[in-house]
Amino acid sequence: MSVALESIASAVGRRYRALRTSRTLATFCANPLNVAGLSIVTAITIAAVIGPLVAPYDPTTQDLANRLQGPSLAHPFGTDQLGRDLLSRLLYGARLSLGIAVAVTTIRLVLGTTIGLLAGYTGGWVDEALMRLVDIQLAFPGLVLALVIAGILGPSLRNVMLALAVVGWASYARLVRGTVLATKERDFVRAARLMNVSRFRIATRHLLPNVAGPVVVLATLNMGTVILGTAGLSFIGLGAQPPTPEWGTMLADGRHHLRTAWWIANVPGVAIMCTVLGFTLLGDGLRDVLDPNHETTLEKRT
Amino acid sequence: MTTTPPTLEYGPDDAATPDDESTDLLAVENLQVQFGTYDGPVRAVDGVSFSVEPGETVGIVGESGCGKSVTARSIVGLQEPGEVVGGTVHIDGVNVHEASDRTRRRLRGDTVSMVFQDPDQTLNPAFDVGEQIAESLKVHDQPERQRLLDYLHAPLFASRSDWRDHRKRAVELMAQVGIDDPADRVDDYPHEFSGGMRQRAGLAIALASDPDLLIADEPTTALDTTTQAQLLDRFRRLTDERNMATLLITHDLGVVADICDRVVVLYAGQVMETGPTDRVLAEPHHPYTRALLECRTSRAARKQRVPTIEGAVPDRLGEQPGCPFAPRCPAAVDTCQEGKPPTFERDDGTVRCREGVVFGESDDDGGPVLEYGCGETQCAREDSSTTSDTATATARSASPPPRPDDDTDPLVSLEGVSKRYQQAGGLLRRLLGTDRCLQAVDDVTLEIAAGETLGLVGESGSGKSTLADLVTGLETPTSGAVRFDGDPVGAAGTRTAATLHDVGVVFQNPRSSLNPRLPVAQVIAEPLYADGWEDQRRRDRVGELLESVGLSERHTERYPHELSGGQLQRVAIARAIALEPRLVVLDEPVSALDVSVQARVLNLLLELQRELELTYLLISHDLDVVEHVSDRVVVLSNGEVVEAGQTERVLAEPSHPETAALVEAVPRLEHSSQ
Repeated sequence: MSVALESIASAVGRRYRALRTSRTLATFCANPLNVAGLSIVTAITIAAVIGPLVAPYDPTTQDLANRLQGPSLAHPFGTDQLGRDLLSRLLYGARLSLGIAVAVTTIRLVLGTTIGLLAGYTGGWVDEALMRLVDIQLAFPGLVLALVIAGILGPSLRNVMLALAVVGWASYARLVRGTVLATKERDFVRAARLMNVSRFRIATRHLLPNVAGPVVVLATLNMGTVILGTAGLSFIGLGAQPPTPEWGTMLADGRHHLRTAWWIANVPGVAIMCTVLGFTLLGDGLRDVLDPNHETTLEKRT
Repeated sequence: MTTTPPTLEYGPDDAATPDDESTDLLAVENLQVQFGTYDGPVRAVDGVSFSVEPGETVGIVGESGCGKSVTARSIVGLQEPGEVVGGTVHIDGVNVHEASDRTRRRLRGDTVSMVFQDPDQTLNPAFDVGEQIAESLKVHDQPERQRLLDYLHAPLFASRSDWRDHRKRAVELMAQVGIDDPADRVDDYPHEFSGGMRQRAGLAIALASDPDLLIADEPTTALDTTTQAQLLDRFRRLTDERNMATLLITHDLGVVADICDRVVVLYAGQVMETGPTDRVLAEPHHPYTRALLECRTSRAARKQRVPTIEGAVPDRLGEQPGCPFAPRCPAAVDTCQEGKPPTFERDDGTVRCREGVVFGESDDDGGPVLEYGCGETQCAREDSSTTSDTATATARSASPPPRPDDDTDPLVSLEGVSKRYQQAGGLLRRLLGTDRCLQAVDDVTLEIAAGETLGLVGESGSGKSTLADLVTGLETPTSGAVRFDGDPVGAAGTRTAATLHDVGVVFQNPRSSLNPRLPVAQVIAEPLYADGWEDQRRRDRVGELLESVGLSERHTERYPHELSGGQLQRVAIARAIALEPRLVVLDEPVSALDVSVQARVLNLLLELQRELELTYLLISHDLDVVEHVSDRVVVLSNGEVVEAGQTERVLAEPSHPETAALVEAVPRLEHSSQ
């Protein structure tokens, strides 16, 4: 037990030391856009986590007496056509949007990475078969396919998630396979083979950590697209159903009142924009510091 | 040496006022270059002064991280991302760093040319070699006209004759730098050239502008010995013919001895010693120069400890008083830690050291009061003064190697092993049966006896590494058999765990042979884990291994990028011996390392062999290393064994021309005295 604790402590210490002395972190923070992206994402994450605790009203309780109220102290973002508080709905919506984005991206990432790793490391006909599958998936326009899937399965958030997950994994598979092909020829993998390390362990311990960088970048950039996709599908009525406080649904509700109550459509719209922007900036920043070429220049002592 | 003052070809310019020191083609005065890093500015070049006269060849030597390349690049104004914070560089009387961009470009085009270290990266892969040489000619002739159409071999009609003329001159230049069949090769792309060829093409590009000064930054480091010898020969001849001055940056004292008139020894961004090559190599004044010379394996007796320089080149962060070499200097005294060491002007050069250390406190001339790197174990200092011939002779008695008896079974034997690679195998070619094959290893039969060290030498591309891969099981032979203890073994995947444990491997490049995402302790523990050792036992063994390769406990949690090249190679060695193998395959184990680090790693390998009774298969293109370590040598050429035998016999009286060429190609300090 104490041994396990000790090893955890040493691992944490190692991570902390690596982070503190990390030139990567310094490089990342040197660009204000990266910091902006990170702040937006952090803010939205915090909002999503503590939203229900701080939300002043219940997001679904109707208050028809106060419908279509403009922004005021009682309702900072105003109320919608059924008198529901927009701030509360926005906070609950952040939870939904972010949750779906994380879930969809995780499914894509796990599925794509596994397939890419398998294809790249095994090679031969397995590689060939899996990559043709990837080609087929990439040949379909993503959002249209998601639309079809969601349409067939019926409108619900869960089906939107499924649809989005199924259409997005192929780019991960491609990326991982390419990196694995390059990495598996490196000497440390050859050394591992000679040390009788099992194939599974070579894949998970030697190859996987070395392909993580580009995958993380892709996943971060993808979060934004997934949020857009979910909102889009909900907007046309295939996703979240009323009264669920989903940003896309809120946007759809608001478009009927654009002339009289601009805030109903604009509040979720701005939220979507900010979130996507935040993830894109963060992803760009990560790409700059996790780019393998970049990394070597940081690592080399001259 | 001509004494005609160099004529300025440029018109009057803002900074082009030649001063009175214009007899020097290149004058570097107190140059200081800094790099801004996260931890603060690092002083990469810290007050370097030297000069190059027309027609002279000057070598800059030092370990890596001493600021050699930065100095060279600062001379032509390519110090980015560094920053010149002090000092001046005059080329032909023009102050480079104050000159306008235009003047500087002219300088680079007309007066100075540069050859870079890595031939893979100097040439543009998108254009053919002839065009790249022609471009240099064209820039020289008409600096303002560069057209894309020319690159695409479709020049405008009006400039067609110019274009053809430049290509003709490119072919001539290629012939001059020693590219065979230049008329055929002129249309080839860089990837169709070998490393040596590419470096020659780089040289041709540099020569195209007919420069007065050629700066060559480690031009032969990436090449094998034979190619290096040819290229150095070419350098010497070209500089003589054209009366061109050369500034050669290298870490190899043998190369310096071969072609340089004068040497500048650099350490931590400071000039330690300057002087004529013969004098500096024969009787170095500065302790650092002496230490550098001592750690060459060719100077030590075979199988004996090589003197080393402990420690590493420091990062020059902030202000540090004293001599930068003091912490590693065997002759350092307390006063070395304070103030700046004075620079002594001698009639044939300079020495930057405290007076007492340089010339010895006592007056007797021959023996300065110094003890080098002989701290802990037996040291071959006495032998170092003797010539290599007598050294090899005495070594036989000095170290009785575990000589294999003839009747014992060999540990490893290869019987008629061949390896062919398919090249460019299209379906059509396969059907027509016109597949091209590359015969990497051709019918090799050899035996490695337990306890011996077998050296495998040959030019690059001779099949050395493929042979090693066949022994380790990374490749399967096309025909023939590899036997371990008499039992045939196949590819690594089909070998039993026990057989795999019997073989340890150390690769050439320590940076790529260790997983960058695992800390050192886990890297070393990996084979133990694969063998099913439990946690505590693994941990103990890792501690043991770290100690035996000379790394301390605090390295366990470091990641590979936090370690230096020498430390990484130690980690790789620790991993290789983790499961107590009987055979260790060393694939160029020290060729990526500095001389002083190389000496330390070789010492470690010899020590481990004695302690653990290891058998080594050593692959190296460096004959000095092979001569120092191995009992027997096998010479490979085009995949075939051309000669095999006892090391001293083969290297002293080679019977095959290939071996003779290899031996001949090694740049030796002794040549310089002839």
